[in-house]
Amino acid sequence: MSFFSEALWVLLLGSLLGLELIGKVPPTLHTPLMSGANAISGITMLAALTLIIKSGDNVPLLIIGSISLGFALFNVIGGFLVTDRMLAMFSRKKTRK
Amino acid sequence: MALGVALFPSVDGSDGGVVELVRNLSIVVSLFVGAITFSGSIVAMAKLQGWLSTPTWTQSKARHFLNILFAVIALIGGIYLSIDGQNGLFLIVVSSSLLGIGVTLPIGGADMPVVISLLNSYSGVAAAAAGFVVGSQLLIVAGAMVGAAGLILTQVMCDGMNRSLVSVLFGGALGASSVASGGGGGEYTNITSCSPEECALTLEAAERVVIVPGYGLAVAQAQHTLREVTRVLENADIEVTYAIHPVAGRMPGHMNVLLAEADVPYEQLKEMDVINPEFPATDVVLVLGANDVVNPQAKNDQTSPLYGMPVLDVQEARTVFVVKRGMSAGYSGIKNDLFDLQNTSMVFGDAKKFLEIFCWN
Repeated sequence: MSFFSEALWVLLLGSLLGLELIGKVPPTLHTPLMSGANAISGITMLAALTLIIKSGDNVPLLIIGSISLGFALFNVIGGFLVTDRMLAMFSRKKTRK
Repeated sequence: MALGVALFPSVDGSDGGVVELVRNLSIVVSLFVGAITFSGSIVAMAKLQGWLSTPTWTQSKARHFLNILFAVIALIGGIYLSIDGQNGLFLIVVSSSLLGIGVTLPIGGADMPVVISLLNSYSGVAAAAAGFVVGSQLLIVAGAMVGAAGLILTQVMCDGMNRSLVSVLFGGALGASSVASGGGGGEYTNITSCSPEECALTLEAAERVVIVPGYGLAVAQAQHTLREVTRVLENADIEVTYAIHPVAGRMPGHMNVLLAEADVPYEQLKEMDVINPEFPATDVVLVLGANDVVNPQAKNDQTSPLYGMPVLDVQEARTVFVVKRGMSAGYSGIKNDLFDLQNTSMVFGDAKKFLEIFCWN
């Protein structure tokens, strides 16, 4: 069970890192933050890929994996596009000042 | 913008055929949270788009039993799945999807952003659980961070409304319950309305103007016109600031993004705690499409459902103009006492058209 305990540590440290980092984001940027976090949750793409690799001859699994890959990609691309558009509104102003 | 959607880790957990108990447990968690997130997000999106309203029957106590029932079924499915690896799968997916719908549907009004942010946080948890399933540390880290981000934002918003997370999740919709019981309702008795031209004259005579933007401004897409108006005011040496309530709009920071798009200087945006002491020294407050966040009931009326929520003290200013399309209630469905006050004038009309009239004068 070494992977499990290792993974638990990663989970714990990841959460603490997240709390620490994100707690410092000013309220002004909370909407882009939410949108960005949403985009990052498309990281489940990794799980979808693993699923497809493992599926082999198992067709239902392959289908499920492909669907989730599609959703995850949609999520990542859409999420980052929207976030980028929002952040562009903020940065443009800074350069003009 | 489909902000609530695109949280789809649910399907990823269905990595059947793994035997270890821990993996099975992770699959259960991942499926459970993922399915709740998925169905909950769809409901949330539908409600935000106005496709779905809050059905009144969901406000009854019965929904708690229903939700508990779903949760129990999901738990049974989870136990099944962790023992024999395959059979409980559909049970979990179906029952937790229903649970997601059952939990999200009764929540309405100003609580919606909280739910969205919470669902976002769930999606992180689901991703982390999926990371356990497929053995990917990257997935776990990313999931944990998203989960933490969602949690922080949820907390920020709950503070902004002076409600606990529990009351948001289980208390039902603010408005629907209060309308049903008649609390906080009542008719307006002392409404003063005026034309945009009169309002413009008053604004030009002012020295300090505070603008309170709200969701209505976003709906009317009037931020650019607003910026034009404030440029005119600034050229006339009138001090213009914006009061940003933490839950103005439909997301945390919604107004900041909106005004940033229109090139409003960052320094003019003031947080609630900063601007509140300044209202007594303000000549004119212009409320554009905001409602619940300027309701004095939250301070004065102990029976109001809004009581205790931090609000902007706009009534302290000399004159308040409220630009509104009609006399309808705000998102919470509660009467706004501000409209009845002596120093408040209503300007009826779409925020954008109103501001355009300003530009011409």
